[in-house]
Amino acid sequence: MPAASRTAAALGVAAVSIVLVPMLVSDFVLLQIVIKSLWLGIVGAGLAFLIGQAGILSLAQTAVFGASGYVMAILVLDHGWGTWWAVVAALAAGPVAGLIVGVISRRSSGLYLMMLTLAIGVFVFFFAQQYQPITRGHTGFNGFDAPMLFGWDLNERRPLFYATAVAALAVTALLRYVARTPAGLAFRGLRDNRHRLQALGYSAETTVVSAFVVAGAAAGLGGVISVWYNGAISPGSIDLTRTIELLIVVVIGGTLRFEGAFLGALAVTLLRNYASDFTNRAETLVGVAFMAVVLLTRHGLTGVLIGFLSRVRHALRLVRGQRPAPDQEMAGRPVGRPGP
Amino acid sequence: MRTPKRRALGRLLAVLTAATLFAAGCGDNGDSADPAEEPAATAASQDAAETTEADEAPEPDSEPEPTETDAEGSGTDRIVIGAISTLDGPFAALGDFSMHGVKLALLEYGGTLEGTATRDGVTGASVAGVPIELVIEGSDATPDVAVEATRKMVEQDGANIIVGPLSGDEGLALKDYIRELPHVTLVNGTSASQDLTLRDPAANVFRFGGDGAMWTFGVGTYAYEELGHRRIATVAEDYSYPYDQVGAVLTEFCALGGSVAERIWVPLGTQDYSSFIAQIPSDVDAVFFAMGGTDAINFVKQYDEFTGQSIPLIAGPTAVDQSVLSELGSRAEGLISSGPVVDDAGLAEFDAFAEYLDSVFPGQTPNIFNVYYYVATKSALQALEEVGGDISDGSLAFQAALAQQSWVTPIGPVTLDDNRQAVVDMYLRRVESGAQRTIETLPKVNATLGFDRDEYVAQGSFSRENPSCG
Repeated sequence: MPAASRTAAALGVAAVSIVLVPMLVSDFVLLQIVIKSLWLGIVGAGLAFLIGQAGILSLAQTAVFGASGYVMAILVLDHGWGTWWAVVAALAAGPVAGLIVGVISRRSSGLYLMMLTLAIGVFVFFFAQQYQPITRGHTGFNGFDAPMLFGWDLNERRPLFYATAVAALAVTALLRYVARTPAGLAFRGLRDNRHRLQALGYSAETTVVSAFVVAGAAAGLGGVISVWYNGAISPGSIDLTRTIELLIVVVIGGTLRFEGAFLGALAVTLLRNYASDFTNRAETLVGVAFMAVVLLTRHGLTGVLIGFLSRVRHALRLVRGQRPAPDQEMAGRPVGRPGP
Repeated sequence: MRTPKRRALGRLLAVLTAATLFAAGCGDNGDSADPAEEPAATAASQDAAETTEADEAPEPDSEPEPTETDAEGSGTDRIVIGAISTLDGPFAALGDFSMHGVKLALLEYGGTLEGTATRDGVTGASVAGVPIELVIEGSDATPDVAVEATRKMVEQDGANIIVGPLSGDEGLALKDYIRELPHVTLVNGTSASQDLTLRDPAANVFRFGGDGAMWTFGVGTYAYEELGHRRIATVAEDYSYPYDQVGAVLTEFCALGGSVAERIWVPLGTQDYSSFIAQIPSDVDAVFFAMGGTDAINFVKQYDEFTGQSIPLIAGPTAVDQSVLSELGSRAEGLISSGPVVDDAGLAEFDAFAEYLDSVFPGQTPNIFNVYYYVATKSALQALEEVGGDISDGSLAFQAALAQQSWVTPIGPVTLDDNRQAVVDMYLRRVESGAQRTIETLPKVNATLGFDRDEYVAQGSFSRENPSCG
């Protein structure tokens, strides 16, 4: 199928889903499963993009996400800004925070970059917890009212769902677009071989910083929606547990395609909500699921899904009596368990 | 060389894992991954990459029309109590204690334990012929998670009454959520934030215990008058609950003429207190410390070992709660504090409770968490009994009955004020041989510590600097 019609098909599916989902699920599921996995997926998509495209495993994405949420809450609740102006500022805060993280960690890579970004994440957490004049300390900000959008109250679940779904689409479009630009190619170059990228005349450091800015934009948007969703933000929203959870989301989703983060977010949200109904060891179950995904799949749930689809396509061709052609989807991309 | 068969097996396993994941998620309503939705979505999403929406859209659909009970109308056929405490994270052990309290109350109403684990519920309990169901959810002491867990109990499990939460900021977040749902009733567990009830109270939020300030009542006066202290320093965790404790101590202490040399605030979860201990001025008469759980244990241990530090300690209520006393061992001996639970209250109700607790959960002794969750749950059950188990009027009669509850709990008599905040006895106490011994019973402590209500409320929430004092 040509790319244009595939995009059209995907948009069509998205549009139908946006219309159908609120009709099919209860209000509770809409809010606590669908909307939650959408905004968690938005933040996760940023991180998955960073890992999958640029090979940067950052543990500071929660901090970037928190920076944006805090900026909005502080401007509205402490400085009396109109919510939409605060939203604009918060959306800008995401890339700016990404820029700062990027500048700090631009020279490092691999394990060192992980440690550095972990330090930044922990710093931001403690800043939020201790620097009361700005962040209100441990209690944080409660009672944040989401704004009105085109006459819809975003405190209501359906409008919030529509807004979040559109935001998820926008982030997907943005990240897909960036991946296709020369900058996106440079990210991949950075992932595959930093030295060769430099030999080609690119600045590896600038590339790292730009990747952080792009991921920061996604995290920022997620941060804004999370504050609408929770009606609050506190250090507990950005602590180490949340950092690890975001990483779990991305790993379960798979980094082959950043969109996998939405799948990962959905899986984690479902587990978090319902695992405790069956077992006294809900955390263990999450851990076991995580290990199963890591051990049994190469590219998380996305890899499983893509592998499944290619098999379906293969079977369809056989049914139609065509010669099984080498699968384009899979070409050059090992999926599923690695071969011997 | 891997055979195709083995590879296929591997794939199958992976797919099964994924399916289990979703089945786990959806199983609540008895239908696993919806066969009708799934293929439609996967077929449409030729390019898996472009399925941002499709990805999350179909899967949650596997719960078509969850059997959501109408919370408002379910009064007569069953009543669901949702208990929330910190079952994960730093306070997980305290969460276990809380659930003991909830279950004990339900056992008194004909229930039987489903199992010994924390999340195992109680079946068969009933009030006035109406069956009572218990659902249990945990948080990790963060407000976001507490609200999500409570929302699940209310909207998915149809909980009519919420018992909990455990920590202060969780309580404030839950108040905001519950306020919007007048037919649901929140009976607080041990959240000790003053502003749960003192300022901007919600009509459906009840607290049958003290707050952080009430738990610390009497300590400031005792330190000034009996111990003869004139100048103290404070070391406390840096959030609302310790602000209330320090605030209450200083309000009394400074009103009598005492002064505070230094207020030291430590981040929650601090491991190394040496730099903070070093900041304590050497010329103060005593150090008041307000911490909980492992923080208290670490602080007392390090203070004890800190060379040349011999200034006497005065403790906050949870710093020497029975739940940490055994960990503190001999270091806790002689510590003065105020608090809601003592081991020698001489109340028949307390002795009966202690015996009952030990018989159901062997080895457990009364502490702030099991007692408070027990009192909260039992108050709710008593009020339900008074209205014949009927909450079909949107819980109005039940809430009215709850507000009128007045009974002798294991830790003394309780009544509620107009903000649905308890007026309760506190105990000035000293640790002796690993138990809390009463120095003095402080009867009928109210939310304003006996001060004029308007003045007390007007001075604002306690904070790092409030109250100002020498």
